[in-house]
Amino acid sequence: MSTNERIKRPSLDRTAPVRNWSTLLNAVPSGDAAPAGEAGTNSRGTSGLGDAIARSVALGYQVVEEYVRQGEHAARRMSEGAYRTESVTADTQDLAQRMGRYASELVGTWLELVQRTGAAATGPRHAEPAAPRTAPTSARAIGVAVALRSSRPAEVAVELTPEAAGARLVVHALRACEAWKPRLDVEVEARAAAPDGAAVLSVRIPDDHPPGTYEGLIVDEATNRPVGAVRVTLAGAETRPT
Amino acid sequence: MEQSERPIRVAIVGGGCAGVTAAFELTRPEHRGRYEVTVYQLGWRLGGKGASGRGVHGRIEEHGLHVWMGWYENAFQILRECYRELDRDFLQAFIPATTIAVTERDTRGQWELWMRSFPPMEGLPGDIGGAARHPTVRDYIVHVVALVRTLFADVVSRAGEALSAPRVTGVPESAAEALAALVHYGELATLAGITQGLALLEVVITSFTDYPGTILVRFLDAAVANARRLLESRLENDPELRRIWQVIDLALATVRGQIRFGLVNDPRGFDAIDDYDCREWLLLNGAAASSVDSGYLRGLYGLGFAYEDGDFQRPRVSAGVALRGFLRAFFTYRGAIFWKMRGGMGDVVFAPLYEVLRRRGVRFAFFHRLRNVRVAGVSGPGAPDAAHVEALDFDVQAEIRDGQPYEPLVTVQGMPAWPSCPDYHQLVDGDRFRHESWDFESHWDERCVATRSLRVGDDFDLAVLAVGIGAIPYVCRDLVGRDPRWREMVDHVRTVATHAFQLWLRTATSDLGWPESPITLSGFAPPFDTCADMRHLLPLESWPSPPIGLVYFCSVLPDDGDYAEGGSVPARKRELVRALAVDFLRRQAKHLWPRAIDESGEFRWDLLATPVAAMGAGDPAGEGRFATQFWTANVNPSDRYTLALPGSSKYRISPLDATCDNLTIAGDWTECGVNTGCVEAAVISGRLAAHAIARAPRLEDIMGYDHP
Repeated sequence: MSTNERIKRPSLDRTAPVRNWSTLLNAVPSGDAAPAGEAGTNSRGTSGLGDAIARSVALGYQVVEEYVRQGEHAARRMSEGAYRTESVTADTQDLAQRMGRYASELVGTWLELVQRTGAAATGPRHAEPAAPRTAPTSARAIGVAVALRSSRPAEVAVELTPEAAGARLVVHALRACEAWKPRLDVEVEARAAAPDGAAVLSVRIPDDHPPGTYEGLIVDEATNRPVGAVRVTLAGAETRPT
Repeated sequence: MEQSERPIRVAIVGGGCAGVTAAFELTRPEHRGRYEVTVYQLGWRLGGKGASGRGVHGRIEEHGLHVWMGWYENAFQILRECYRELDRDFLQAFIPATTIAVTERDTRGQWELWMRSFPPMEGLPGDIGGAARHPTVRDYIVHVVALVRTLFADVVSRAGEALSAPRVTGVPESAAEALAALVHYGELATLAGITQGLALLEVVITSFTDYPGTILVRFLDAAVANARRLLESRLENDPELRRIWQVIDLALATVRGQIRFGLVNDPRGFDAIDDYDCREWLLLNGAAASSVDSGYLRGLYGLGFAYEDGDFQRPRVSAGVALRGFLRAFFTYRGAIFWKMRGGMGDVVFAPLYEVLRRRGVRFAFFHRLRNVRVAGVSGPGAPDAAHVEALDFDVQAEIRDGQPYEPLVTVQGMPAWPSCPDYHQLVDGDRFRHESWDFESHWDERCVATRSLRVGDDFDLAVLAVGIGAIPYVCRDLVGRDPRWREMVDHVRTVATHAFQLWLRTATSDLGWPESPITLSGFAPPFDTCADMRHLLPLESWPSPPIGLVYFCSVLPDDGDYAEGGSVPARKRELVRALAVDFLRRQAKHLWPRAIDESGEFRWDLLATPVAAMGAGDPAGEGRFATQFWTANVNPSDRYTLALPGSSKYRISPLDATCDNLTIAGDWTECGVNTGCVEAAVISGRLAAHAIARAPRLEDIMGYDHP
């Protein structure tokens, strides 16, 4: 029998348990316990890789939410009198700084994951058709312009994966680590408004918006795949709601 | 799946938990008949190490003691789906068990029972979605600290101290510094101070990801030292206080170890400490020698058969595997910590699965003994003819009359069950096999009526090797010979023989001095250190005059190297187990059942209920009555229990591994995330094997596979 006639096992996305960062938080519960009807495609008809990315995104948000929860928990414990009052402010500031740092670290880690899985998605092992593209990712540089309207000093950082090139971008509302802080909206203006066809991220910061670090995802509107992140750091004295 | 539109023929060799799980997954309706599955099974019954049979009077006869744990999410999920397909209620097949007991010798050398009940937890094992979650190392640390705090409150109240802990003074700038201050200012000098510190510890761990490990370790050291000093005089005279303290000591050592070894952020999870023995690792992290030798830890070793070569002087288990198992067992169970089957494992698990699989069109080829997995081709990427299984060689142990499928089940008390011996009437030459005592499950009985080779392409396309690891060196000579990883796996993933006996009693165990509530006991005297009250099974048997008590005993069977003269090994080992059991009852039963001993100090053999069939020549007397009970020596290579020795996890091969492009493996000996011998590990491996073939179920849906 020739080797071509033999049926072989399919190639797999991974062959070992993931015990690292993505399992540091609770995995997204899956209500869909049924197996795939076809290899590599789940019962909802979306690709396994797409699911993996979607779950990664959900996990990413969970990271932030988890720290918010922990911060709230710590605050509650502190308010119960475990510490002297004057220590609370210092603790909470410390906690906020840490949470901001973790969120930034998460974005980096997450982007790395997206890049890796994105590379895998276009690799030869996957039979599912590639998402529609208006231009090959390697053929053009990635550029975005940022229009910032703010009465206070603010720093904007944008990170994009190669997949962002040529994609129609949407930016999720930016979220702070502190649950009580309102979200910050970012609009993406028409590509034609910017030189070289680059998208324009328009960030308008209300005067009364609380200072802090705000993070949000940039996604490809056509595929809903994350292709980048925006971070806005807004200066000012920290105040807390009473 | 590439290449083929016709059904893909999958040969599954071995019908234990792993094999039938793979069959269950591959024949789900969602696959729409994509996989045509045949299970090849040695002898007459499914089950492997979980097989059971019905003997005289419908007696349930097991390989050992099988108790499912509340964290066996995958095993319960598959079984619940199976029961749903049969329109049966799985809750009728299991009984929640909340009490576990361990034993310790007191200063007079007497064994004392220590029982603990575990509260019911939300949900049922195998629930899909909802509260199902994957705990993190941090979650576990928090759980353990909370447990310690609760236990400590118990200690403080027993020690007669007030619980009103003083507030932390000084000007701490953070919770962590508050902890440091507790140590620095000597506030741990009272038990109440330690209690206060434990509450702070919980805050620190829940609040910070990169918590200051040095401070936490310093705190733990100070807390343990202070508490030990304060309690020292009381521990000796208060056994209950001593036991609680031992649990605290062990729990704090695990917290300390998880912090010191940086397990929260280690990408290897608990595998990072796989090279350590669990006891060694606990000592390394500050546990007292007396805690490490406590009944509590011996009980856990006993439940896991964690004795190298069956030697009770060599308790060894990987710290990573043990810690993962302990934490999952105690903090992630659902419903009850234990679930006892209402029937033999064959009746409750394998008969329903067999029925469902038959309905789905799975074929079963019983009486097939695998002789060799023939491998051809070359391993490695780009090889023109990749390594693959070209043939599966079998001995056919018996032919079925009229070429019909073998019907393996019997009915006992209305329940489909597996018999303890084959139905010879269905076999060609069945009478001869019975008269000549063919032992179809013995590794050493190689008699057969024919041989059969299944060839790839002609008879099967893909293969699932789901035999026990002990059998691998005998049936995978090609793979072990050509692939260093397979060679290392069979060298390092070791097994141990086990033995068990069951007693049917004419007296209630409570009348003999045992607790009223049926308990599962571990850490008792060798060579049968684990036992369970199984009286709930008696109504399911069919005795003309039912016994009143039923107790199972089991443990490791020391490897004495006496495997020469193969043919007689099973009989010799069986006689050895009989002698060990009789001696055990004479010497040790009095510790469990004080009233089971007569005035001369001899075990009251008349307590044993004897089957009517055994009384043909008169009711046996004295020690001879033991011969009417059931006992087994699990010495067949594939029946041996899979150990998790320190440093062995890295040698396991995953069902997802593609050394051969048409073969996957399944069994609790594979790299399956759990990596220890248990039903859950076997079921996970079976699901992974299915994933390797069908890319389903999704790895994310295999609960606990992605676990630190």
